[in-house]
Amino acid sequence: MSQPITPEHDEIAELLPWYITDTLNSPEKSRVSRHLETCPLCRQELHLYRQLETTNQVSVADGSWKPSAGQFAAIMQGIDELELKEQAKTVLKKENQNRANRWNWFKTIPKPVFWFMALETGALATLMMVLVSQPLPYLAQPGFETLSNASPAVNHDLPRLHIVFSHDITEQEIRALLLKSGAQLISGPSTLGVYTLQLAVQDKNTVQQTVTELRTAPKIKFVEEIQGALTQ
Amino acid sequence: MVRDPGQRKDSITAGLSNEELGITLLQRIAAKDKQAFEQFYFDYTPRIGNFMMKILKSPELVDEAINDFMMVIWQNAGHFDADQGKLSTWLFGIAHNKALKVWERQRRYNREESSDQTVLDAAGNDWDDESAEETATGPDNPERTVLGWELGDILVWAMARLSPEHQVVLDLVFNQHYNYEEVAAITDCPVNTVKTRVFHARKKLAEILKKRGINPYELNGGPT
Ligand SMILES: [Zn+2]
Repeated sequence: MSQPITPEHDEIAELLPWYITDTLNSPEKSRVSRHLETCPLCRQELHLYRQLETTNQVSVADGSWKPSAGQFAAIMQGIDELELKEQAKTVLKKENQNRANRWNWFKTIPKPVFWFMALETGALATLMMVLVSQPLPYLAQPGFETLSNASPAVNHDLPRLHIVFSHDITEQEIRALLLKSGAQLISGPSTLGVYTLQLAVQDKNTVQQTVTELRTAPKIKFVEEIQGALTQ
Repeated sequence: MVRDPGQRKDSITAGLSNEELGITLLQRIAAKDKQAFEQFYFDYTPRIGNFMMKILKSPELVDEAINDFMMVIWQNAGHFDADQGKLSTWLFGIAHNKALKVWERQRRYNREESSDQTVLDAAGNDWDDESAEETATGPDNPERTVLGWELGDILVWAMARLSPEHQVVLDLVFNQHYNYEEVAAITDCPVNTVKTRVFHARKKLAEILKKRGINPYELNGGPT
C-alpha cells in the first residue's frame, strides 16, 4: 500500500460507491474500471463498499415502521380542521368586503339626507349595531357548542360518519338528529359542506342501523361511514 | 382490515409504470381527491417511513415526521414538476427535510430536559462523536460480543453508530440506489459534499470497526 496517491485516485475513490450500485454514466464507469486495475487501495475500498451494500439490503427488510389506518384518520382530521380554518378566513374576508361596501354606500348619501335618516328613524343606529354584531357563519367554533360539546373529544376508536345536510335544515333539527343518534359533530363543514360526526357506539350493527336511519331522515343528503377510522 | 397496496391499482391506471402511476396519483391529490391521498399513504409511506427511521430511530418520531410529510403532499402535490426529476427523488427530499426537522426538535427538547434534570438522553439521538462513543462502549455493547457476530451484524452494529447524516447518505446510495446527483437533490447539498460525505461515512465506519479490533478490509475474506 505504498503506491503514490494521485489526484486521479482521490477522484475515483469518491465515485466507488456509485460504481458498486451501477449508477455512474459510462465514461465514469470506464475510468473507474481502468483505475481499479492499477490501484489496490481502491480495490480494497470497493470491497468494503460491497459489504455495505449487502448489509443495507439486509437491514432494510426489518420494516420497523408501518403505516396505520389510525394514523391516516388522524392526518385527515388535521386536514379537515385546516380546511375549516381556511374557509373561515375566506368568509371573514368576504364579510369585511361586504361591510366596506355597505359603509361606502352610506358615504354616497348626501349629508343632510344622511342626518335626516339618522335622526328621523334611528335606522342608522340599528344598522350600525347589525353591522358590528353580525355573526360570521362558520367562523366561530362556538356554533358547534350548541350542538355538541365545546371541544368535542375526538376518539379514533369510535366510528365516524361524513354527513351533508340539506340547506333548509334548522339548528333544532340538527340537534334533534344528533340526540337521537347519540352522535356529536367533531368537524366541518368542509369546502363541500361535509361535516364529520362521531358516534358513541362501536357495535357494527348499531352503527349500520344509525347510518340507515340517518339516510332516511328528510333533510340529510348524504351519509357515509368513514372507512379506515376503525380498521386497526 | 389488512391492506395490500399492490391490490389497489385503478383499472384506468393499469399498465402504467410506477413513476407514471405515482404522478397520476399526485395529480389526483392536487385536485383534493382524498381517496387518492389515502392510496398514496398506504403505497408510499412504508419506504419513506423506514428511511426516516435511519434518522429518527423511533417509530413515534417517524409518525410525527410522516404527519408533516403527508401535510406537505396534500398542500403541494400540484408543485411537483416531472421535468425537474423523478417523483421518488422529490418525495425523499421532502421526507429528508421533515425527518431532520423532527430530529432537531427532539434534540432541542432533549437538551432542555437534560439541562433541567441532568438526565442524558440514553437513546443517543445526539450523534456527536462523544455520545456515539458512549453508546458504543456502554454496558449493553461489550466489544467481546461483536467478535462473535456474523459479518452483516457487525456492519449493522457499526452503521448504527454513525451520525444520522452519514447513515442517511449510505441508505440513499446503497439501499435506495440513487446516483450522486439525486442524493444531492434529496439532501439539498452540492454534489461534491455528497461524494465527500459518503467517503467520510466509510472512513468513520472503518474507524469504529478498527476500535473493536476488526480489520474492515478483511471482512468476508477481503478484496479479490
Ligand atoms: Zn485508487
